[in-house]
Amino acid sequence: MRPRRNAISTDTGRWLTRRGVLGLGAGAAAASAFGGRQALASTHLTIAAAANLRMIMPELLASFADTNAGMAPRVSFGASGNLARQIVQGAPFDVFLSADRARVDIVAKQQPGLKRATFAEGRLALLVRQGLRITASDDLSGLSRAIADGRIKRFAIANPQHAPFGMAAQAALETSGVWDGLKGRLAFGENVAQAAQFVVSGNADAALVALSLAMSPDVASRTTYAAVSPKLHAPLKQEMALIRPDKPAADAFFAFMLSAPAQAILAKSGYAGANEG
Amino acid sequence: MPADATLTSLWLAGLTALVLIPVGVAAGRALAMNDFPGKGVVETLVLLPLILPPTVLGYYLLVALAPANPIGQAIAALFGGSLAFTFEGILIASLIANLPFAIQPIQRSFEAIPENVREAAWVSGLSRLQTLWRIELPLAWPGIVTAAALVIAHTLGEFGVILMVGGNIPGETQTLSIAIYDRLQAFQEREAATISIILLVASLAALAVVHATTGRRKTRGRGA
Repeated sequence: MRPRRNAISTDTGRWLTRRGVLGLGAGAAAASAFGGRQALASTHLTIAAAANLRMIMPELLASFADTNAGMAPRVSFGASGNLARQIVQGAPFDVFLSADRARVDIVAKQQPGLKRATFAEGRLALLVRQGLRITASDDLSGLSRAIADGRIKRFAIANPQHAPFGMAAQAALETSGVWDGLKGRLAFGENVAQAAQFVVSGNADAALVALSLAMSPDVASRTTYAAVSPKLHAPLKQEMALIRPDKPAADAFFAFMLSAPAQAILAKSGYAGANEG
Repeated sequence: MPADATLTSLWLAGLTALVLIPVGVAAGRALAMNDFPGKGVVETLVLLPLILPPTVLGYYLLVALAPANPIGQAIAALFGGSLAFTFEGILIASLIANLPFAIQPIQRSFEAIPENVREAAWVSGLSRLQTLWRIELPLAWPGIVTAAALVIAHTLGEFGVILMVGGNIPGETQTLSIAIYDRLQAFQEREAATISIILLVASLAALAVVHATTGRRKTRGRGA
């Protein structure tokens, strides 16, 4: 009796699956036919970039276009952990610029032989909202006093669960002994740019974010910041991975990130170079 | 204003309405005019996306589309790649999320058509198809317009499931709602404000359409 029942239910299952696929197929085929989006997608260079690169990406892309015209790169920003998960789940990214090594490891586990390289070392900065004064020092002692006398009501960091800059921020706060004092006052940004945005909009009093974000004119004009000593956390070795080695544009961008022009932009924007530190 | 995100949003809203309105007419009419065992279950399932947290729908879609899963494999074989983080992927999410907005108003408008109106049409010699085309659809029209307006407005506003299933890829899955979130994180408050106003106006316009069509139905009802 049992095998027969199983056979019937598997058949039904298959039928339902096939019907489902056909239904989905009709909708998606309509989408593809309307406007030939697929063809468009294949000529683009699609880059997944950690949120700390957000403000310097336009400059990097402009420099890339000097030698590689007509490749029309488009960039999706996010926390490295989320981007790595999306790549593993089949997201159509050609190059992955991560904020650390561990997130590239996740992709490498699925794609053995993945071409990867360190392109920069990230640094943290203490970002303080307009109208609030915290003595700038790279060991966070000014922050410690501000927490003690109640001037910090909301402190933002990127979510340490999936954002490398959030992990580094947590480590730096722990090393300098202020982590416990911030309990109940922390706000987690989905990625490091959102953590910075909380301070720019005045909704958080201060944040530990990427130095590159703090230095960018849009942020620096509306906040104050101080670079944090890299000794307070494990080094943020930022790695990139070539997800689609078959795409010439992807290969070209991978090489570009290690070239002198790209490294010069990174060096003046709050990063230590690929081979320093 | 971001041209890419506007285009993505308009394609998504247009295609969702184009696919769902015929579905809504067929399913809404069937539910309005028939009683069958398990009808309550079907109506509950139709309403489910309205109540279901978008992240739950997003989670199940990601699981279903994953290459490790038989459904995901079948789809990948069909399209030559995974649908997660593609426009087709967010279209599927949008079709499911909008099901109640398409079916509910149309079902209500078919329910409001008295049985004797259809009987009168048949007695007058109209076939069932002619009755549908010349009597039922004109009477159900406000419900259909309402459904279209709600589907389009809701698609323009959908956020959670689109971000989960589509990621945030400009020109592919970055809709206007996602663009607001994205621009804010790029410290471009002005652009975020512009898109927000556009979506606010679009929502008001959709409600105005709903109000105008249902208002007209009431006066017509009183006159008859």
